[in-house]
Parts: sequence; C-alpha cells; structure tokens
Amino acid sequence: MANFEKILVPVDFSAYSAEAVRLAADLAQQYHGSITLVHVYDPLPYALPPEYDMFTSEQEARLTREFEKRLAVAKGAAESAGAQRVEARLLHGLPSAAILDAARSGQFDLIVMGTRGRTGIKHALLGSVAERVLRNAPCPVLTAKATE
Amino acid sequence: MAGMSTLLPTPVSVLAAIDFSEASSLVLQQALDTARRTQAEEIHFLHVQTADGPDQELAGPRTLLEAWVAARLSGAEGVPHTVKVVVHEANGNPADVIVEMASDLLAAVIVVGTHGRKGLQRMLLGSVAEAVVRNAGCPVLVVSRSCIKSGCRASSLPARVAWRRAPRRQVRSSGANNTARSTAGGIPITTRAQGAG
Repeated sequence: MANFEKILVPVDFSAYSAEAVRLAADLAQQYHGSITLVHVYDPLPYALPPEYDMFTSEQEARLTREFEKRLAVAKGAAESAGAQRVEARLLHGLPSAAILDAARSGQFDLIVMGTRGRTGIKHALLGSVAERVLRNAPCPVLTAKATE
Repeated sequence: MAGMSTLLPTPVSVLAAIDFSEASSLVLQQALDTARRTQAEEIHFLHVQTADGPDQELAGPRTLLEAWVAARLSGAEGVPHTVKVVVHEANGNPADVIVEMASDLLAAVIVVGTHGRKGLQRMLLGSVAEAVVRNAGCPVLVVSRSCIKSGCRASSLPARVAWRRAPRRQVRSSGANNTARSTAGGIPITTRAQGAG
C-alpha cells in the first residue's frame, strides 16, 4: 500500500507555504507520516565580480539564524496542526534544484507546495520554483493555495 | 480533508483529469489512492476534448473513457471501501473545464498529469496542469512524467465501484470564464467494475 509516509514541504515563509504546511500536517496525521520542512537559501542569486561578496560572513550568519528561527516556527505550526514527526532543514543552492535533489535523495513520497493565487503577472502566478518542481518531481506534487 | 463544511452533506469527491497520455494511468492510480486515503465517496474522471485535438467522436468518446477507466479498475485488489465512479466528457479549454468542474463538485482535490514538454512545444501548447494549479480553488495533485520514470509506487484500488455516467458537458470557452454549464446529475448505473468485490 502506497502511503504518503515521507512528505517534503518546501517553505518560503509566505502565507502560501503556511497553507502547504497545514495541509501536509493534516496528511501526515492521517497517514502517520513524517514531514520534512526545507527552506532553500540561495546565497548567490547573481554572478558577482570575484572581489565582491554578496553578504559579509556576519550578515550571512545573521540570515542563517533568522531562517533557522522561522523554520522552527513552521515546525511548531506543523506539530500543532497534528503532525507527529517533523524535521526542518536549511538548504543552500538554487531552490528548484535543491528541492528536487532533496526529493530524490530522501525518497519522498509526496511534495506539498504552496502556490500563488490569481493576483499578479501571469507567469509569476505559479512561481518559477514551483513550476520547475512540478515538471521534474520524482513523486507526486500536491499544491496548496492560501485561503484568501 | 480538513475544512470540509459539515453544514452541507456534500460527498467528498476527487476529480481526476484524464487525457489518455502516459501520465493518465498514474493519475488514475493516484486518484484512487487519494480517494481511499481521504475516505472520498466519489471519484470523477474527466476527459476534455479540445477543438484542435483528434476527433474521437467516431470512436465514441464516452465509451472510450469508460472503457479506459474500467480496464484499469478491473485488476484491482480488494480494499474495503466503496466509491462511486462518475465519468465525464466535456468540450472546451481543458484547464477551464477542470477548474470549473472541481468548483461545481466542491472537489477535495484535483489530480492532473503533466507531460514535461519543453521549449517551443510547451510555449505553444501551454500547460493544462499549470493553469489548473493556478486557478483551482482546491489542492491539486500533480503527477509528472519524471514521476513515472522514477517508478512511483503503485497503489491499491477500491474494491467496489458503483458507476454513474454524467451527461456530456458543453462548455463554451471564452477565455478565462466558462458560463455555459450542464449539471452532472447522472444516470445511475449499477455495473461493478470487477467481479470479486
């Protein structure tokens, strides 16, 4: 019997990902599954000349602490929504690639992702990260939408 | 699923979009599996014929979808859960029709496949799955071709299936909004999808 035992939830700390966490917690509770929350932090979104750093190491450490803190909040939200086993991970790299890598290497059964609603520019509606994940995921992807 | 209104006795339903592509078999499996997990009472299979698609009128499109679904349900292993299967045929813009039907049914979840097309072909054809994800008001379970390649685990199927055939829907697509709609009252059919039960 195929159950959604291992659920991967990429979070960006938006209302959309909060809804994904809630939905994933609901599923995990029903099927006694585990949830892995990941936030992907891309330290180098642009190519910079070699003498430039995007952030000082102090700034980067502060950012990392901030992400860890927010991940802990999301973990708490998942647990209070009924999930029994929740872990949170901070990943580095290109978001879509890091999510797909995590899904493959962790052999997840399901990815739950938040997506944007009707507002905004057409292509930005879904988000390029969600789009890449949808197309290339090694497992089914469940999209959740924030209640307006 | 959580959040279902307890005021109205709306049956919990799963809507599965079928286009007879490689991904569709997996869509069907996931729909059945999801229905079992969510204790859904109804699974709705929807095939939308596009204006520029191959004309399946001669082959009997309703029969084709019914036969396709039945063939895949027939090898089912017994699971003590009864669901009602409803088969829908419609014309129009696939994403619009799928989203509209999900809203009509108050579907708990939509299951769709994606082909993983790239480049020009994708720009020309767009992606039904992506448009559904964007516009649907409910969660959408997307099954991609890479999901098939990596060998998504097969799921068990419900044991007893009560068939209901929905009338063909004519949806006149006028961009984003479809106004014309027909109710899916359906003719109850008591065919069992399999013998064992």
